[in-house]
Amino acid sequence: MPKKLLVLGGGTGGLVVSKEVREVVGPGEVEITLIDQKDRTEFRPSYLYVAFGYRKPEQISAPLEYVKRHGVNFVKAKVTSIDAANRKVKTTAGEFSYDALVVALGAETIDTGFPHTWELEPSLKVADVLSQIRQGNIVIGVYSMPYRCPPAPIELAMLTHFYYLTRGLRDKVKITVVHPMKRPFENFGPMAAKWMSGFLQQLGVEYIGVGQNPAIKSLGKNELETATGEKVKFDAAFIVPPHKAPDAVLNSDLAKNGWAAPRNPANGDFRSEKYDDVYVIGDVAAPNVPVGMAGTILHSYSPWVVSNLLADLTGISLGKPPFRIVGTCALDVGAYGMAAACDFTPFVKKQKPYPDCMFLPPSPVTRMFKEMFEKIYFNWLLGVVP
Amino acid sequence: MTEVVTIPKADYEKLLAEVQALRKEVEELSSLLLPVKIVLEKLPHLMADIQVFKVAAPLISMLSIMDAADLNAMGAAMQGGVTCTSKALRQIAENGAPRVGLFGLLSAMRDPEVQKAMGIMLTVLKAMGTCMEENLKQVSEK
Repeated sequence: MPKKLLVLGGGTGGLVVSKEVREVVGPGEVEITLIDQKDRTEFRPSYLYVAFGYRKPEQISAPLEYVKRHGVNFVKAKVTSIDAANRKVKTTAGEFSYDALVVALGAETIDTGFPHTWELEPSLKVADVLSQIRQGNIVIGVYSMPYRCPPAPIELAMLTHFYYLTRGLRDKVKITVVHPMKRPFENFGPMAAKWMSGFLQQLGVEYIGVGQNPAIKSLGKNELETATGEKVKFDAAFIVPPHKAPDAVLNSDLAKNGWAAPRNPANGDFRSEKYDDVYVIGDVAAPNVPVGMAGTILHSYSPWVVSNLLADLTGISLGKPPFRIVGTCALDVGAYGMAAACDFTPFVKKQKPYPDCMFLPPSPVTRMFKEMFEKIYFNWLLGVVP
Repeated sequence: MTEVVTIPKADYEKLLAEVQALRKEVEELSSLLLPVKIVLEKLPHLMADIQVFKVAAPLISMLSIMDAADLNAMGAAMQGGVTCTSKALRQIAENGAPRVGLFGLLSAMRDPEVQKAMGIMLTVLKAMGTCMEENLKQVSEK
Protein backbone atom coordinates (compact mmCIF):
# COMPACT_ATOMS: atom_id res chain seq x y z
CA MET A 1 0.00 0.00 0.00
CA PRO A 2 1.45 3.39 -0.93
CA LYS A 3 1.80 5.96 1.84
CA LYS A 4 -0.58 8.91 1.64
CA LEU A 5 0.74 12.45 1.37
CA LEU A 6 -2.02 15.04 1.65
CA VAL A 7 -1.17 18.56 0.53
CA LEU A 8 -3.53 21.39 1.42
CA GLY A 9 -3.21 24.39 -0.89
CA GLY A 10 -2.39 24.73 -4.57
CA GLY A 11 -0.17 27.80 -4.30
CA THR A 12 3.61 27.82 -4.44
CA GLY A 13 4.03 25.74 -1.25
CA GLY A 14 1.65 22.96 -2.22
CA LEU A 15 2.91 22.78 -5.78
CA VAL A 16 6.61 22.81 -4.89
CA VAL A 17 6.21 20.03 -2.32
CA SER A 18 4.04 17.87 -4.61
CA LYS A 19 6.39 18.29 -7.55
CA GLU A 20 9.63 17.76 -5.63
CA VAL A 21 8.36 14.73 -3.70
CA ARG A 22 7.00 13.17 -6.88
CA GLU A 23 10.35 13.71 -8.61
CA VAL A 24 11.89 11.26 -6.14
CA VAL A 25 9.12 8.74 -5.49
CA GLY A 26 6.48 7.31 -7.79
CA PRO A 27 2.75 6.79 -7.10
CA GLY A 28 3.44 3.17 -6.14
CA GLU A 29 5.37 4.38 -3.10
CA VAL A 30 3.61 7.61 -2.20
CA GLU A 31 0.15 8.69 -3.28
CA ILE A 32 -0.03 12.48 -3.36
CA THR A 33 -3.33 14.34 -3.20
CA LEU A 34 -3.47 18.10 -3.53
CA ILE A 35 -6.57 19.99 -2.38
CA ASP A 36 -7.42 23.57 -3.27
CA GLN A 37 -10.67 25.51 -3.30
CA LYS A 38 -9.90 27.00 -6.70
CA ASP A 39 -9.37 25.11 -9.92
CA ARG A 40 -6.62 27.43 -11.10
CA THR A 41 -3.39 28.53 -9.46
CA GLU A 42 -2.14 32.05 -9.95
CA PHE A 43 1.28 33.67 -10.08
CA ARG A 44 0.50 36.35 -7.53
CA PRO A 45 3.43 38.72 -8.26
CA SER A 46 1.87 39.35 -11.66
CA TYR A 47 -1.36 40.78 -10.19
CA LEU A 48 0.52 44.07 -10.50
CA TYR A 49 0.85 43.52 -14.22
CA VAL A 50 -2.89 42.75 -14.47
CA ALA A 51 -3.58 46.06 -12.73
CA PHE A 52 -1.58 47.91 -15.34
CA GLY A 53 -3.01 46.02 -18.31
CA TYR A 54 0.27 44.25 -19.03
CA ARG A 55 -1.21 40.81 -18.39
CA LYS A 56 -4.62 39.22 -18.78
CA PRO A 57 -5.83 36.98 -15.94
CA GLU A 58 -5.52 33.81 -18.04
CA GLN A 59 -1.87 34.65 -18.72
CA ILE A 60 -0.93 34.50 -15.05
CA SER A 61 -2.85 31.42 -14.03
CA ALA A 62 -3.02 27.75 -14.96
CA PRO A 63 -5.40 24.87 -14.21
CA LEU A 64 -4.42 22.84 -11.16
CA GLU A 65 -5.56 19.75 -13.07
CA TYR A 66 -2.10 19.81 -14.64
CA VAL A 67 -0.61 18.34 -11.42
CA LYS A 68 -2.02 15.06 -12.72
CA ARG A 69 0.80 15.14 -15.27
CA HIS A 70 3.17 14.52 -12.34
CA GLY A 71 0.95 11.73 -11.03
CA VAL A 72 -0.53 13.93 -8.31
CA ASN A 73 -4.28 13.74 -7.58
CA PHE A 74 -6.14 17.03 -7.53
CA VAL A 75 -9.34 17.64 -5.60
CA LYS A 76 -11.17 20.93 -5.87
CA ALA A 77 -12.60 21.49 -2.41
CA LYS A 78 -12.51 23.89 0.53
CA VAL A 79 -10.77 22.58 3.62
CA THR A 80 -13.23 22.93 6.50
CA SER A 81 -11.32 21.36 9.40
CA ILE A 82 -8.01 19.77 10.26
CA ASP A 83 -8.06 17.13 12.97
CA ALA A 84 -4.34 16.39 13.25
CA ALA A 85 -4.75 14.26 16.39
CA ASN A 86 -6.79 11.75 14.34
CA ARG A 87 -5.09 12.37 10.99
CA LYS A 88 -8.31 13.56 9.37
CA VAL A 89 -8.98 16.53 7.11
CA LYS A 90 -12.55 17.48 6.34
CA THR A 91 -13.37 19.25 3.10
CA THR A 92 -16.41 20.16 1.05
CA ALA A 93 -15.55 17.10 -1.06
CA GLY A 94 -15.41 14.69 1.86
CA GLU A 95 -12.96 13.50 4.47
CA PHE A 96 -9.31 12.61 3.81
CA SER A 97 -6.82 10.66 5.90
CA TYR A 98 -3.04 10.79 5.54
CA ASP A 99 0.35 9.49 6.59
CA ALA A 100 1.87 12.93 6.18
CA LEU A 101 0.12 16.29 5.85
CA VAL A 102 1.43 19.52 4.39
CA VAL A 103 -0.55 22.61 5.30
CA ALA A 104 0.21 25.27 2.70
CA LEU A 105 -3.13 27.05 2.74
CA GLY A 106 -1.65 30.54 2.49
CA ALA A 107 -3.18 33.70 3.86
CA GLU A 108 -6.67 34.98 3.13
CA THR A 109 -7.54 38.61 2.57
CA ILE A 110 -10.45 40.36 4.26
CA ASP A 111 -12.32 42.52 1.78
CA THR A 112 -12.41 46.24 2.56
CA GLY A 113 -14.36 47.12 -0.58
CA PHE A 114 -11.34 48.95 -2.05
CA PRO A 115 -9.40 47.75 -5.09
CA HIS A 116 -5.90 46.35 -4.58
CA THR A 117 -3.36 44.03 -6.19
CA TRP A 118 -3.43 41.24 -3.60
CA GLU A 119 -6.11 39.18 -5.38
CA LEU A 120 -6.95 38.80 -9.05
CA GLU A 121 -10.45 40.35 -9.23
CA PRO A 122 -9.55 43.50 -7.27
CA SER A 123 -6.47 43.91 -9.52
CA LEU A 124 -8.80 44.33 -12.49
CA LYS A 125 -10.62 47.03 -10.52
CA VAL A 126 -7.29 48.83 -9.99
CA ALA A 127 -6.96 48.87 -13.78
CA ASP A 128 -10.47 50.41 -14.07
CA VAL A 129 -9.70 53.09 -11.51
CA LEU A 130 -6.35 53.98 -13.06
CA SER A 131 -7.94 54.33 -16.48
CA GLN A 132 -10.49 56.81 -15.06
CA ILE A 133 -8.35 58.95 -12.77
CA ARG A 134 -6.52 61.67 -14.67
CA GLN A 135 -5.84 63.96 -11.75
CA GLY A 136 -6.09 64.07 -7.98
CA ASN A 137 -4.80 62.13 -5.00
CA ILE A 138 -4.10 58.42 -5.17
CA VAL A 139 -3.44 56.67 -1.89
CA ILE A 140 -1.85 53.27 -1.54
CA GLY A 141 -2.71 52.26 1.99
CA VAL A 142 -1.55 49.19 3.89
CA TYR A 143 -4.26 48.37 6.37
CA SER A 144 -2.14 46.18 8.60
CA MET A 145 0.76 43.76 8.74
CA PRO A 146 1.44 41.00 7.95
CA TYR A 147 0.48 40.94 4.31
CA ARG A 148 1.76 39.03 1.30
CA CYS A 149 4.96 40.26 -0.34
CA PRO A 150 6.19 43.07 1.93
CA PRO A 151 7.76 45.22 -0.85
CA ALA A 152 4.67 45.07 -3.10
CA PRO A 153 2.89 48.26 -1.91
CA ILE A 154 6.02 50.22 -2.79
CA GLU A 155 6.17 48.45 -6.14
CA LEU A 156 2.53 49.43 -6.74
CA ALA A 157 3.38 53.05 -5.90
CA MET A 158 6.34 53.04 -8.27
CA LEU A 159 4.32 51.53 -11.10
CA THR A 160 1.54 54.06 -10.49
CA HIS A 161 4.15 56.82 -10.68
CA PHE A 162 5.51 55.37 -13.92
CA TYR A 163 2.05 54.95 -15.44
CA TYR A 164 1.16 58.62 -14.93
CA LEU A 165 4.63 59.75 -15.92
CA THR A 166 4.37 58.04 -19.30
CA ARG A 167 0.85 59.41 -19.83
CA GLY A 168 2.15 62.94 -19.18
CA LEU A 169 -0.15 63.32 -16.17
CA ARG A 170 2.32 62.85 -13.34
CA ASP A 171 2.19 66.52 -12.29
CA LYS A 172 -1.60 66.27 -11.91
CA VAL A 173 -1.55 63.19 -9.68
CA LYS A 174 -0.28 63.03 -6.12
CA ILE A 175 0.76 59.54 -4.95
CA THR A 176 0.85 58.78 -1.22
CA VAL A 177 1.74 55.55 0.55
CA VAL A 178 0.27 54.99 4.03
CA HIS A 179 2.07 52.18 5.82
CA PRO A 180 2.35 50.73 9.35
CA MET A 181 6.15 50.95 9.18
CA LYS A 182 7.72 54.32 9.98
CA ARG A 183 10.09 54.09 7.00
CA PRO A 184 9.70 52.17 3.74
CA PHE A 185 11.65 48.87 3.68
CA GLU A 186 12.44 49.25 7.40
CA ASN A 187 12.00 45.48 7.74
CA PHE A 188 14.96 44.99 5.41
CA GLY A 189 17.30 47.02 7.62
CA PRO A 190 18.28 50.69 8.03
CA MET A 191 20.29 50.85 4.81
CA ALA A 192 17.31 49.61 2.78
CA ALA A 193 15.00 52.07 4.58
CA LYS A 194 17.27 55.03 3.90
CA TRP A 195 17.78 54.05 0.30
CA MET A 196 14.09 53.45 -0.42
CA SER A 197 13.08 56.70 1.34
CA GLY A 198 15.44 58.54 -1.01
CA PHE A 199 14.16 56.66 -4.04
CA LEU A 200 10.50 57.48 -3.27
CA GLN A 201 11.47 61.10 -2.66
CA GLN A 202 13.13 61.21 -6.09
CA LEU A 203 9.92 59.90 -7.67
CA GLY A 204 7.82 62.40 -5.74
CA VAL A 205 5.90 59.69 -3.86
CA GLU A 206 4.90 60.76 -0.36
CA TYR A 207 5.31 58.16 2.39
CA ILE A 208 3.29 58.38 5.59
CA GLY A 209 4.86 55.99 8.09
CA VAL A 210 2.22 55.53 10.77
CA GLY A 211 4.41 53.53 13.14
CA GLN A 212 1.44 51.52 14.40
CA ASN A 213 -0.19 48.27 13.38
CA PRO A 214 -2.94 48.37 12.12
CA ALA A 215 -2.03 51.63 10.40
CA ILE A 216 -5.56 52.54 9.33
CA LYS A 217 -8.27 53.34 11.85
CA SER A 218 -11.09 54.04 9.42
CA LEU A 219 -11.78 54.09 5.72
CA GLY A 220 -14.28 56.55 4.27
CA LYS A 221 -15.35 57.09 0.69
CA ASN A 222 -12.76 59.81 0.07
CA GLU A 223 -10.76 59.94 3.25
CA LEU A 224 -8.91 57.58 5.54
CA GLU A 225 -7.84 58.11 9.10
CA THR A 226 -4.59 56.63 10.30
CA ALA A 227 -4.16 55.00 13.70
CA THR A 228 -2.41 58.19 14.85
CA GLY A 229 -5.38 60.36 13.81
CA GLU A 230 -3.95 61.79 10.61
CA LYS A 231 -6.60 62.26 7.94
CA VAL A 232 -5.62 61.59 4.32
CA LYS A 233 -7.96 62.62 1.52
CA PHE A 234 -8.02 60.74 -1.76
CA ASP A 235 -9.74 60.51 -5.11
CA ALA A 236 -8.81 56.86 -5.38
CA ALA A 237 -7.40 54.47 -2.84
CA PHE A 238 -5.80 51.06 -3.26
CA ILE A 239 -5.97 49.41 0.12
CA VAL A 240 -3.86 46.37 0.95
CA PRO A 241 -6.48 44.35 2.84
CA PRO A 242 -5.91 42.77 6.25
CA HIS A 243 -4.74 39.16 6.01
CA LYS A 244 -5.70 36.19 8.15
CA ALA A 245 -5.04 32.47 8.31
CA PRO A 246 -7.83 30.27 6.89
CA ASP A 247 -10.46 29.24 9.47
CA ALA A 248 -9.54 25.56 9.13
CA VAL A 249 -6.09 26.44 10.49
CA LEU A 250 -7.31 28.94 13.08
CA ASN A 251 -9.79 26.42 14.47
CA SER A 252 -7.21 23.63 14.64
CA ASP A 253 -4.48 23.08 17.20
CA LEU A 254 -1.85 23.94 14.59
CA ALA A 255 -2.27 27.70 15.17
CA LYS A 256 -0.40 30.08 17.45
CA ASN A 257 -0.73 33.90 17.40
CA GLY A 258 -3.28 33.61 14.59
CA TRP A 259 -1.02 31.66 12.20
CA ALA A 260 0.22 28.09 11.81
CA ALA A 261 3.19 27.41 14.06
CA PRO A 262 6.26 25.57 12.73
CA ARG A 263 8.33 23.71 15.34
CA ASN A 264 11.81 25.11 14.89
CA PRO A 265 12.18 27.06 11.65
CA ALA A 266 15.58 28.46 12.67
CA ASN A 267 16.92 24.92 12.29
CA GLY A 268 14.88 24.01 9.24
CA ASP A 269 12.19 22.09 11.12
CA PHE A 270 8.82 23.03 9.65
CA ARG A 271 6.86 20.27 11.35
CA SER A 272 3.95 21.62 13.36
CA GLU A 273 4.70 22.24 17.01
CA LYS A 274 2.54 19.30 18.14
CA TYR A 275 2.51 16.74 15.34
CA ASP A 276 5.44 14.97 13.69
CA ASP A 277 3.40 14.10 10.60
CA VAL A 278 2.16 17.64 9.87
CA TYR A 279 4.25 20.30 8.14
CA VAL A 280 3.18 23.94 8.06
CA ILE A 281 4.79 25.99 5.30
CA GLY A 282 4.50 29.20 3.32
CA ASP A 283 2.39 32.26 4.09
CA VAL A 284 0.19 30.47 6.62
CA ALA A 285 3.25 29.95 8.83
CA ALA A 286 5.42 32.94 7.78
CA PRO A 287 4.57 35.29 10.72
CA ASN A 288 5.67 32.59 13.18
CA VAL A 289 9.01 31.94 11.40
CA PRO A 290 9.23 35.02 11.33
CA VAL A 291 9.65 36.06 7.71
CA GLY A 292 7.59 37.91 5.13
CA MET A 293 4.94 36.12 3.14
CA ALA A 294 6.55 35.29 -0.21
CA GLY A 295 6.88 32.22 -2.40
CA THR A 296 10.59 32.84 -2.87
CA ILE A 297 11.24 32.47 0.86
CA LEU A 298 9.26 29.24 1.02
CA HIS A 299 11.15 28.04 -2.06
CA SER A 300 14.48 28.53 -0.23
CA TYR A 301 13.56 26.28 2.69
CA SER A 302 11.36 23.81 0.80
CA PRO A 303 14.25 21.39 0.08
CA TRP A 304 14.44 20.74 3.81
CA VAL A 305 10.72 20.12 4.05
CA VAL A 306 10.81 17.79 1.03
CA SER A 307 13.85 15.96 2.38
CA ASN A 308 12.17 15.38 5.76
CA LEU A 309 8.90 14.35 4.15
CA LEU A 310 10.68 11.80 1.97
CA ALA A 311 12.51 10.42 4.98
CA ASP A 312 9.19 10.19 6.88
CA LEU A 313 7.42 8.46 4.02
CA THR A 314 10.12 6.24 2.57
CA GLY A 315 12.56 5.90 5.46
CA ILE A 316 15.53 7.55 3.75
CA SER A 317 16.37 10.78 1.97
CA LEU A 318 19.43 12.53 0.62
CA GLY A 319 20.49 15.40 2.91
CA LYS A 320 20.36 19.01 1.83
CA PRO A 321 22.91 21.85 1.88
CA PRO A 322 23.33 24.02 5.00
CA PHE A 323 20.00 25.50 5.99
CA ARG A 324 19.35 29.03 4.73
CA ILE A 325 16.19 31.07 4.50
CA VAL A 326 16.56 33.54 1.69
CA GLY A 327 14.41 35.54 -0.66
CA THR A 328 15.38 36.76 -4.09
CA CYS A 329 13.12 38.93 -6.18
CA ALA A 330 12.91 41.43 -8.97
CA LEU A 331 10.86 44.51 -8.20
CA ASP A 332 9.35 46.37 -11.11
CA VAL A 333 10.23 50.01 -10.61
CA GLY A 334 8.62 51.12 -13.86
CA ALA A 335 10.21 49.84 -17.10
CA TYR A 336 13.16 48.74 -15.02
CA GLY A 337 13.51 45.76 -12.78
CA MET A 338 15.45 45.93 -9.57
CA ALA A 339 16.98 42.70 -8.35
CA ALA A 340 17.04 42.23 -4.61
CA ALA A 341 18.01 39.41 -2.31
CA CYS A 342 17.79 38.97 1.43
CA ASP A 343 19.37 36.34 3.62
CA PHE A 344 16.93 35.93 6.51
CA THR A 345 18.92 33.14 8.19
CA PRO A 346 20.73 35.26 10.83
CA PHE A 347 17.48 37.15 11.50
CA VAL A 348 15.42 33.97 11.96
CA LYS A 349 18.16 32.54 14.18
CA LYS A 350 17.94 35.79 16.23
CA GLN A 351 21.60 36.58 15.56
CA LYS A 352 20.82 39.87 13.81
CA PRO A 353 18.04 42.45 14.22
CA TYR A 354 17.28 42.43 10.50
CA PRO A 355 18.09 40.36 7.40
CA ASP A 356 21.16 40.84 5.19
CA CYS A 357 19.73 42.48 2.09
CA MET A 358 21.25 43.43 -1.23
CA PHE A 359 19.68 45.70 -3.82
CA LEU A 360 21.12 45.97 -7.30
CA PRO A 361 20.76 49.04 -9.51
CA PRO A 362 17.62 48.98 -11.69
CA SER A 363 18.06 47.61 -15.19
CA PRO A 364 15.77 46.56 -18.05
CA VAL A 365 17.39 43.11 -18.04
CA THR A 366 16.19 42.45 -14.49
CA ARG A 367 12.67 43.17 -15.61
CA MET A 368 13.08 40.59 -18.34
CA PHE A 369 14.18 38.14 -15.64
CA LYS A 370 11.03 38.96 -13.67
CA GLU A 371 8.86 38.19 -16.66
CA MET A 372 10.89 35.09 -17.49
CA PHE A 373 10.42 33.75 -13.98
CA GLU A 374 6.65 34.06 -14.33
CA LYS A 375 6.83 31.68 -17.32
CA ILE A 376 9.40 29.39 -15.72
CA TYR A 377 7.24 29.20 -12.57
CA PHE A 378 4.36 27.51 -14.38
CA ASN A 379 6.63 25.36 -16.50
CA TRP A 380 8.51 24.22 -13.40
CA LEU A 381 5.48 23.38 -11.29
CA LEU A 382 2.81 22.43 -13.81
CA GLY A 383 4.68 21.73 -17.04
CA VAL A 384 2.70 24.37 -18.90
CA VAL A 385 3.22 28.00 -19.87
CA PRO A 386 -0.06 29.92 -19.99
CA MET B 1 -19.43 3.94 -37.54
CA THR B 2 -15.63 3.92 -37.92
CA GLU B 3 -14.54 5.08 -41.32
CA VAL B 4 -12.10 2.70 -43.03
CA VAL B 5 -9.55 4.09 -45.48
CA THR B 6 -7.89 1.70 -47.85
CA ILE B 7 -4.40 2.49 -49.16
CA PRO B 8 -2.03 0.40 -51.27
CA LYS B 9 0.25 -1.87 -49.23
CA ALA B 10 3.37 -0.21 -50.61
CA ASP B 11 2.14 3.22 -49.42
CA TYR B 12 1.23 1.75 -46.05
CA GLU B 13 4.69 0.24 -45.63
CA LYS B 14 6.34 3.47 -46.70
CA LEU B 15 4.25 5.37 -44.17
CA LEU B 16 5.12 2.85 -41.47
CA ALA B 17 8.84 3.17 -42.24
CA GLU B 18 8.57 6.96 -42.08
CA VAL B 19 6.83 6.79 -38.70
CA GLN B 20 9.48 4.40 -37.40
CA ALA B 21 12.29 6.68 -38.62
CA LEU B 22 10.56 9.67 -37.08
CA ARG B 23 10.12 7.86 -33.80
CA LYS B 24 13.82 6.93 -33.76
CA GLU B 25 14.74 10.57 -34.38
CA VAL B 26 12.44 11.81 -31.62
CA GLU B 27 13.94 9.25 -29.22
CA GLU B 28 17.48 10.30 -30.15
CA LEU B 29 16.63 13.97 -29.84
CA SER B 30 14.91 13.43 -26.53
CA SER B 31 17.97 11.56 -25.15
CA LEU B 32 20.23 14.27 -26.49
CA LEU B 33 18.18 17.02 -24.89
CA LEU B 34 17.77 15.25 -21.56
CA PRO B 35 20.73 17.05 -19.89
CA VAL B 36 19.32 20.40 -21.13
CA LYS B 37 15.91 19.42 -19.72
CA ILE B 38 17.48 18.68 -16.34
CA VAL B 39 19.25 22.07 -16.33
CA LEU B 40 16.01 23.83 -17.33
CA GLU B 41 14.14 22.03 -14.57
CA LYS B 42 16.73 23.21 -12.05
CA LEU B 43 16.63 26.79 -13.40
CA PRO B 44 14.08 28.05 -10.84
CA HIS B 45 16.37 26.81 -8.05
CA LEU B 46 19.35 28.57 -9.61
CA MET B 47 17.37 31.80 -10.04
CA ALA B 48 16.39 31.71 -6.37
CA ASP B 49 19.86 30.77 -5.09
CA ILE B 50 21.56 33.53 -3.13
CA GLN B 51 25.05 32.38 -4.11
CA VAL B 52 24.11 32.53 -7.79
CA PHE B 53 22.55 35.94 -7.11
CA LYS B 54 25.81 37.22 -5.61
CA VAL B 55 27.86 35.94 -8.53
CA ALA B 56 25.42 37.42 -11.05
CA ALA B 57 25.16 40.71 -9.12
CA PRO B 58 28.29 42.41 -10.57
CA LEU B 59 27.16 41.55 -14.09
CA ILE B 60 23.60 42.78 -13.53
CA SER B 61 24.88 45.92 -11.77
CA MET B 62 27.27 46.64 -14.64
CA LEU B 63 24.30 47.46 -16.88
CA SER B 64 23.38 50.40 -14.70
CA ILE B 65 26.95 51.29 -13.73
CA MET B 66 28.14 51.46 -17.33
CA ASP B 67 25.09 53.54 -18.21
CA ALA B 68 26.63 56.35 -16.14
CA ALA B 69 30.12 55.90 -17.60
CA ASP B 70 31.75 58.43 -19.94
CA LEU B 71 32.78 55.74 -22.39
CA ASN B 72 34.90 58.11 -24.52
CA ALA B 73 36.97 59.27 -21.54
CA MET B 74 37.09 55.78 -20.01
CA GLY B 75 38.09 54.28 -23.36
CA ALA B 76 40.80 56.88 -23.92
CA ALA B 77 42.09 56.34 -20.38
CA MET B 78 42.13 52.58 -20.80
CA GLN B 79 43.84 52.84 -24.16
CA GLY B 80 46.30 55.37 -22.77
CA GLY B 81 46.89 53.23 -19.70
CA VAL B 82 47.63 50.15 -21.78
CA THR B 83 49.81 51.95 -24.34
CA CYS B 84 51.75 53.98 -21.79
CA THR B 85 52.24 51.10 -19.38
CA SER B 86 53.38 48.83 -22.21
CA LYS B 87 55.92 51.44 -23.25
CA ALA B 88 57.25 51.78 -19.71
CA LEU B 89 57.36 48.03 -19.16
CA ARG B 90 59.25 47.53 -22.44
CA GLN B 91 61.75 50.19 -21.31
CA ILE B 92 62.24 48.32 -18.03
CA ALA B 93 62.51 45.01 -19.84
CA GLU B 94 65.29 46.39 -22.09
CA ASN B 95 67.21 48.65 -19.71
CA GLY B 96 66.00 47.68 -16.22
CA ALA B 97 64.66 50.20 -13.69
CA PRO B 98 66.84 52.60 -11.69
CA ARG B 99 67.01 52.26 -7.91
CA VAL B 100 65.39 55.33 -6.42
CA GLY B 101 66.00 56.52 -2.87
CA LEU B 102 64.59 59.52 -1.05
CA PHE B 103 66.85 61.97 -2.86
CA GLY B 104 66.16 60.26 -6.16
CA LEU B 105 62.50 60.70 -5.49
CA LEU B 106 62.95 64.42 -4.82
CA SER B 107 64.98 64.75 -7.98
CA ALA B 108 62.36 62.81 -9.99
CA MET B 109 59.72 65.19 -8.72
CA ARG B 110 61.45 67.96 -10.70
CA ASP B 111 61.02 65.99 -13.93
CA PRO B 112 58.11 67.52 -15.94
CA GLU B 113 56.97 64.03 -17.07
CA VAL B 114 56.76 62.79 -13.50
CA GLN B 115 55.05 66.04 -12.48
CA LYS B 116 52.47 65.47 -15.18
CA ALA B 117 51.86 61.88 -14.01
CA MET B 118 51.55 63.08 -10.41
CA GLY B 119 49.10 65.73 -11.58
CA ILE B 120 46.93 63.10 -13.27
CA MET B 121 46.99 60.89 -10.18
CA LEU B 122 46.19 63.77 -7.85
CA THR B 123 43.36 65.03 -10.06
CA VAL B 124 41.81 61.54 -10.05
CA LEU B 125 42.27 61.24 -6.29
CA LYS B 126 40.76 64.69 -5.68
CA ALA B 127 37.68 63.82 -7.73
CA MET B 128 37.39 60.42 -6.04
CA GLY B 129 37.32 61.86 -2.51
CA THR B 130 33.93 63.52 -2.34
CA CYS B 131 32.40 61.38 -5.08
CA MET B 132 33.29 58.06 -3.43
CA GLU B 133 32.14 59.28 -0.04
CA GLU B 134 28.78 60.36 -1.44
CA ASN B 135 28.31 56.99 -3.15
CA LEU B 136 29.30 54.98 -0.10
CA LYS B 137 26.98 57.06 2.10
CA GLN B 138 24.09 55.56 0.15
CA VAL B 139 24.78 52.16 1.69
CA SER B 140 25.58 53.29 5.23
CA GLU B 141 23.24 52.05 7.90
CA LYS B 142 23.02 55.48 9.61
